[in-house]
Amino acid sequence: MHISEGILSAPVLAAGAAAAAAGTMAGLKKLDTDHIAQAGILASAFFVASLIHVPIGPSSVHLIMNGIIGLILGWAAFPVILVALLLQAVFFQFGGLTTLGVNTCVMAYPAVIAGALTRPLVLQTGLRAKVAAFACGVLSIFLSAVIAGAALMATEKGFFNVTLMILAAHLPVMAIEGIITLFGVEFLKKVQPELIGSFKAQFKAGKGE
Amino acid sequence: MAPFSNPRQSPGSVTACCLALGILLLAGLLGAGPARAHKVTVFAWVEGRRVYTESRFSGGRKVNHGKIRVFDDKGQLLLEGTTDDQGAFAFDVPKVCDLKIVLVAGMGHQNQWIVPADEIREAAGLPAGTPAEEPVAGKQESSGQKQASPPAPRTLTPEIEKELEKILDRKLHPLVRQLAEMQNRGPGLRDILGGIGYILGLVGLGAYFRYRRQDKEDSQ
Repeated sequence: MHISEGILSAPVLAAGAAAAAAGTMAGLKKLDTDHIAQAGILASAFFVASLIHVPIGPSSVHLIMNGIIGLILGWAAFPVILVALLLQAVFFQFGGLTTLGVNTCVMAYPAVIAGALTRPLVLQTGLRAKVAAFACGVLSIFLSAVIAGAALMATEKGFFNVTLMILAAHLPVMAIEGIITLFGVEFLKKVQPELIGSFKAQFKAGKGE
Repeated sequence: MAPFSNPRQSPGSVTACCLALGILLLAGLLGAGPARAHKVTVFAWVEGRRVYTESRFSGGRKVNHGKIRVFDDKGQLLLEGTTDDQGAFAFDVPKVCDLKIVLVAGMGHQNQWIVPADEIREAAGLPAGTPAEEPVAGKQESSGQKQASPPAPRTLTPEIEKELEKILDRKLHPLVRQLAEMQNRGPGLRDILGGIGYILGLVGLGAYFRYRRQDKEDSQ
């Protein structure tokens, strides 16, 4: 999902950078003292997750893990993903410095959206919560593919072609991330229910299980 | 869990997260096998009047059906092609100049390789280009060679020299390719730990500033 340097035109890069900057500002405001440690741990997880490759499918795809980050951190997912992407660009040469803004948008907006949409259901108990957690993992990858397709539509063969291609390549990743999000959320609910969302509501939801 | 109790944050979350991160890190390292890739590279070399290219994702997986575009030094598109199952694509030298070979592997993956004009000329056995045509890098190199070896009496006839060059080319190509492959090795433990170290540093920095601000607010 990392877009390489030298593909996108300057306006797309500038728009991506501006959108990523706006998201990061919003995220930094949300990131209070109590969540800094979590943010760091999740940034490390995101940073490493890109090394886990899924050998199925026509192209080279890897785990992204943006769904669970959005679920836990909300808008604070932005600075986390930005930092992790910057380090991936520097250390792994994934993506690039000029495409950092666009890549941040590709992965962070889906995290925020998927997290916000599924959080109310994830906080409930039983099957509904499990399905919602799985959906969060799937939805975040789906939205990432759509945003990446939109960014690439000017340079490749049209929005639908690119998006469909990316989606097809990421189908296995979607399934795996859905499962990882499902088990991750179940695990957190048992061990540390207040990690997801605001403190009191989750604590109750966790205790109720 | 941990024996100490912190009123702000229960230690369970840290333990749980560390556990999860440890599992991830382990999986990342194990996954760092042959299937790992997320960067494309294209590598090209000249033999005779033909340019051979090889495209792969970092970690070794070949790029099949990637698009190769060849540009001249003025950025004009000379030819286009598609890589085969082995990630290879070859074409005849279209023009003696610096060739920029761009690999477009789809879904936002792209990289390039530049074949210098000198390499093409040498491989094709053409005399070195006229000074006006010769790139600056080539000039510097030749002047450097002159300084390094003062005008030694030539003991080799041009024919033998040419043969030698051909043989050397043949012997050195595998080495050059190996070097290019080594450069393409994916991230190792050092990169991973370095990145995580940076993140930990940022966490510390963030925590420091937040707590300092809180202290100021508390003291007021």
